[in-house]
Amino acid sequence: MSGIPVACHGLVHIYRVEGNDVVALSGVDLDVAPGEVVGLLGPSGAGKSTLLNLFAGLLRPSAGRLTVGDHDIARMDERGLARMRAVDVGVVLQGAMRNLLPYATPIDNVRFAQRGAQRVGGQDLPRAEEVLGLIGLDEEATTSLSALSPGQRQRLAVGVGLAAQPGLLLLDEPTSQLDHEGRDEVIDSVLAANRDLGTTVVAVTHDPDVADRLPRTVTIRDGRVGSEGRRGEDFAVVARDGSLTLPPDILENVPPGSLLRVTVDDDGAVRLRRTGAAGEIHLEEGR
Amino acid sequence: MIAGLAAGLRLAVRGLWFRRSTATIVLVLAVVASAASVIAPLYTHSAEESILRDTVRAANPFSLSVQVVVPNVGGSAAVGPARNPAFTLRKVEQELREPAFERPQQSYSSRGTYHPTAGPNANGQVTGPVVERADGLCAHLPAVQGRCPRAQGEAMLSRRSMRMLGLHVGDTAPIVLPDAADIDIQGGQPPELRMKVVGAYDPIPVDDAYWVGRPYFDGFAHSIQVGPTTVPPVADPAFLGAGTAVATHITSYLIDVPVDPDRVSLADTGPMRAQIRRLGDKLSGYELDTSSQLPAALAKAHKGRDLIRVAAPLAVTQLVLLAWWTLFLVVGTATEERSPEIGLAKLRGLGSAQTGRFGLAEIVLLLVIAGPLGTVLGWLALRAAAPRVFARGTPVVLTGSVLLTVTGALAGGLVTALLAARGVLRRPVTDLLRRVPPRRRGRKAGLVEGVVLALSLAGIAQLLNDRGGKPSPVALLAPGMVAVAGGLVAGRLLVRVARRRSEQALERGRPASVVGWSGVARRPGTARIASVLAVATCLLLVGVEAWAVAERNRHERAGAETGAAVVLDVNATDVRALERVVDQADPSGGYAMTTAYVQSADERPPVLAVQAERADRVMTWGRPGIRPHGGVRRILRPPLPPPLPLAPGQVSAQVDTARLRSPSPVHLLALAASPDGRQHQVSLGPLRTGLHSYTGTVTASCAPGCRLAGFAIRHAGTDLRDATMRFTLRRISAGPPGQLREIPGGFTDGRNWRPSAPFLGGPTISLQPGLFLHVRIQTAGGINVEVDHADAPEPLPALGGAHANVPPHEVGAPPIAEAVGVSGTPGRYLVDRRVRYLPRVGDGSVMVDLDLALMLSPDAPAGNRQVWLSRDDHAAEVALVQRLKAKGIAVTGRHTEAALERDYAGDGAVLALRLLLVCGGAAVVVSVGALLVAAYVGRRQRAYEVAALRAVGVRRSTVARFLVRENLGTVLVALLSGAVAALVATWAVLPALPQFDTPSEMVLARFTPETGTGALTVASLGAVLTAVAVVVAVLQLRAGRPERLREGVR
Repeated sequence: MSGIPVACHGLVHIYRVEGNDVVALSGVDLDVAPGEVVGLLGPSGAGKSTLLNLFAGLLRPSAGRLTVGDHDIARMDERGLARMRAVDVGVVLQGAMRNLLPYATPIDNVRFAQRGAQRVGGQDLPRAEEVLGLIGLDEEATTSLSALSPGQRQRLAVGVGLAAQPGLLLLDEPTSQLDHEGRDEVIDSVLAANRDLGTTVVAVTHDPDVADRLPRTVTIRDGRVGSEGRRGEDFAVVARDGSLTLPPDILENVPPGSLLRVTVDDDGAVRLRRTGAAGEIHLEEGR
Repeated sequence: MIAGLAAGLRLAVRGLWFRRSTATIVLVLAVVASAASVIAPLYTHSAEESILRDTVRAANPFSLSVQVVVPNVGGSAAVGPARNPAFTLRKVEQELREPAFERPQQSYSSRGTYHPTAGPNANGQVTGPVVERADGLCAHLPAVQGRCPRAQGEAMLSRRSMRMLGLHVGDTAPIVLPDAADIDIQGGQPPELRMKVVGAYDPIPVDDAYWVGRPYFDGFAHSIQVGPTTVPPVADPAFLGAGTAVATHITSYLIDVPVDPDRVSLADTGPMRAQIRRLGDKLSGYELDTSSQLPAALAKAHKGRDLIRVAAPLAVTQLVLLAWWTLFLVVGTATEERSPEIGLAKLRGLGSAQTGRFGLAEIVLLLVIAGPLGTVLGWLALRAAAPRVFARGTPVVLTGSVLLTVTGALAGGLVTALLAARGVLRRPVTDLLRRVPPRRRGRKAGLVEGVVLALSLAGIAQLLNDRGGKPSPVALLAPGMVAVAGGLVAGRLLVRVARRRSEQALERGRPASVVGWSGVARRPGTARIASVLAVATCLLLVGVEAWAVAERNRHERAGAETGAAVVLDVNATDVRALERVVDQADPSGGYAMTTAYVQSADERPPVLAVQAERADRVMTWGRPGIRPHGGVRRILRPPLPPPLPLAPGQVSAQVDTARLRSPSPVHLLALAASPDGRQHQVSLGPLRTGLHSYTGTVTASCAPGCRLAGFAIRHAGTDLRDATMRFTLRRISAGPPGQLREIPGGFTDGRNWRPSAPFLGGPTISLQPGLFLHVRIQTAGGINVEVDHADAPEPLPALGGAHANVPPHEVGAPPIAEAVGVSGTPGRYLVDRRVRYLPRVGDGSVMVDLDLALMLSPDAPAGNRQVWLSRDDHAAEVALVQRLKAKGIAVTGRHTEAALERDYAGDGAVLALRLLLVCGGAAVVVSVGALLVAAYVGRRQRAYEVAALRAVGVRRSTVARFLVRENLGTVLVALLSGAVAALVATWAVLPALPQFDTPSEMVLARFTPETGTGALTVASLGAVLTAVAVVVAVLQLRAGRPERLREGVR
């Protein structure tokens, strides 16, 4: 299956904890193109994992719109969501072993992950051995999990996520607790899958080195899209409603309540000038 | 499809191996549940069989057998082809086909009359049967003289019959057979058989199967006088040689069909009854009587079987329910442990059915293995226990119904597992993947608790209604329901306690306690385990208490109904001789005691005469508190003056007669009493006014031990005029002629004398004690007057049973009971003390001292003689029996307290109680298993918590202390709740539990709990659980290394 797109418009998610409402996401606008690899960055509690769970259909949006491929997540029932996870979305949870049956061999883990797709008639599923080959574990197909290195286990977790050849692969901190070598192996596997299968990849990470290897990063801050990075360069993103989240370092100079004058220069650059202050923010349209 | 199943199975097997410890314990629980469910029907079936076998074996072989008889009265005969016994034999064999019916034995039998010409009954009549056995006589009845009869016309008689008939071997004995059926052939004259006596036999016990228990030798009797009629003597049977009966035209015959008690089984009872009935119906047309007590014996066993049939399944149902419930909790806990895997299945898009199959595959696999394993185990366990629990040879059979029950239990287990896992399977993926369990919602749990509580209350109410009657199923389920209620309370209580402790710890800033106690409050598994432990504690305690109380009741009943550890029936005709032997064999008086029990033909209460000096050490009263305060001896043998000894020679009394007015001479007599109770009157001459010495001769019949029993005034005058006299007895002397010496204690104390028993129209006697004995008498003529020495009190002091018939008496007057005397004649007893019952004889009798009774009873004592022994001491008993034998006294029966207790232990009620105890024990095994499962399954969570505490710097010792406290707190709450529930259940349940198949009218069962046993049980269980709790804490501490926090350590 080739990659599937993800689109969220004004996505809001509110948790209810001990009787109190906690806003996890407060209007996220994000489009992920088919076959794209996106890293979700941001501080703890920013809402990255919540966003990932929403993409996986594990949580329902409180407001806004979220489509994963042809699936409108807000309108789907549990059966539909299960079907979507079986075929279209592969999820890799944080911590390799949380994705694996500890007593099953790598090949059995992959086969187990394919059961859902088999149920809904997935005819073109790759053989489990092929999946293992994709992540470089074909020789460890029947090795006990305890005999695998942490990096191998994490790769296996990725392989399990890819078992049904989903259009979208969601990864939550896929490299945490790994050494450099293990981390690189995992990222290589993910990028290889993207390259070979065209799978769309969305990965939550804290690791700047991992982020550097991803072509696009989206920083979630306070439940919104804070910025985007392309090829190592960060950009502020204008939301669909026209709002703009400024980077933290700029916000230090532009406290809340500041009045900004927005002008467009002849060369197309957008300038933000704070009234009554020397500071000036300069935006270039189209970059 | 098959490949998918195989893959699922492989995964399940790997999962089980991965969780092998949990899986093993779950498997054990499931096996125990299956074993329990199979034990119920197996035990019930075997217990019924056991009761039947015990009953049948205890029955007399003759009463069990089927007897076909030509009515042997008035020359009646079978009709048609049944005149030939071979025809009837064929019919019998055709109808009685069950294997327990043995080969029929046919014999001709008729009543005959001898007219002896010699011997003690010469010229009189002697009756007696003639019997011709079809075969085997010579092998079973040895000839002690001559030989066994073989040819026609030959006969063998018993030696005692031959003495009775004045016959010898070789004589010819004519006998008239008035009841021979073919009397008409003789022209209306009864046939006469001239038997040639070729041998003699001695009667033998008929316990040999050949005799089918038929009491051939019980009819022998000498001539007795019944009122004006003399009943002629009865001889033992004359056994005839083959062919004699036919030749003599005897056609009355009998057929005995023995029944082998070892081959009577439950399955046979219906067919056997039906076959006997059918045979009776068929043979009645030929004028043949068919009878058997077998149906009655089978009906007797029915009551015990009824109890076991109701009680056993219900007792085991409780265990099965507990096992299911434990399974529910364990599966719930185990599924909880697997929630991340189930979450993973959902994450991978498995449908709900697929997820369910994946989640339940392991448990279902275990249950499928456990079913047959538990069945075989239960069967083997019961088979192993059967010889100790059931009657000899009782089989333990796996029947179709047993297998059906196991299937039901297995299905129940599967449903239980499904219900237990349902909550986890329905949870959203995000909840399943969380590491901290969500807070429990309590509404449904509250509903369940309410239902259980309501059912418990209903059960208790039903139990209180059922007291004394047959318990209803609801009542019998009550202990289980109360136990479950206790378990639920334990779970709730633990959560509350844990929350409270958590809050306190938070206030005091103790992070270890906060984490631990809040974990206890949050984790459903801990509350569940507390409830399972409480249920098990309750069931065990109820089982132990029920058993201990029943055992005590059996012991008390057996003790009271036997009267002593061992009671020997003896055939002593002379009770005094028996007493002498017993006294010689046991001079200390602590081992053996002679008794006589005399019953009256009328409504007077029976009398048990015992040796009061020995009674307190030999008798067993059964229930405590029945034995009279101060002991039997104090009541039956109050302080009495010493006897005044007499010996052959002279006796002299100095009497000062102040007044004597009588129409005829008045004679003074001394009354001497021999040790054998006989009285001798010694005439002292006519009474005269003034101070005189009166002397008489004591004859040689006053043997050693002879005593002065009293004085009598013989007044032969007319009853129209009274005689009055007033005299003072001053001194009494005795000795050889010319050497008379004053008998010490003679008249110096007037209290040592008493007037004879008053009766209507009798004399008025007034005694005035002082330095001498002053006597006033007013009496009608013709009535002797006695002044007796009080060493033999009259009326006899007696101890009465609660329902001994003592007529109402006036206020202040002594309660005198008219009862039968030891010699069978009426006696009077002073019954001013009563007890609920008297050992062995019940509540309607009175007990007196044998020696005092014999002093007052010159006649030969009547009644049954027994020797009661205080302990079952083989060597001492053998020595005693030999001494008895040496004096010609045979032991004819033996009863022991232990044997009676064993008999009661075979009751259906007891078998059901035993099962209750086993269920309690099994409940503990199940609960400890559940505890281990919970500890093992929860170990990872606890390990993470402990590791986290260690990682933030909490000291190891602090964590260890907390872990021990947490685990012990769980155990303590469970034990307390279980014990309280057990108290309630015991109070409500015990009185409704049948203790015996047939309740005793004499000894009422007591239901006071055995607190010592209960406390010991709780303490033992507490010790075991404490040890388990501490070990679990140590393991949890070891597992909680900080390194565990790193990913990958599982």
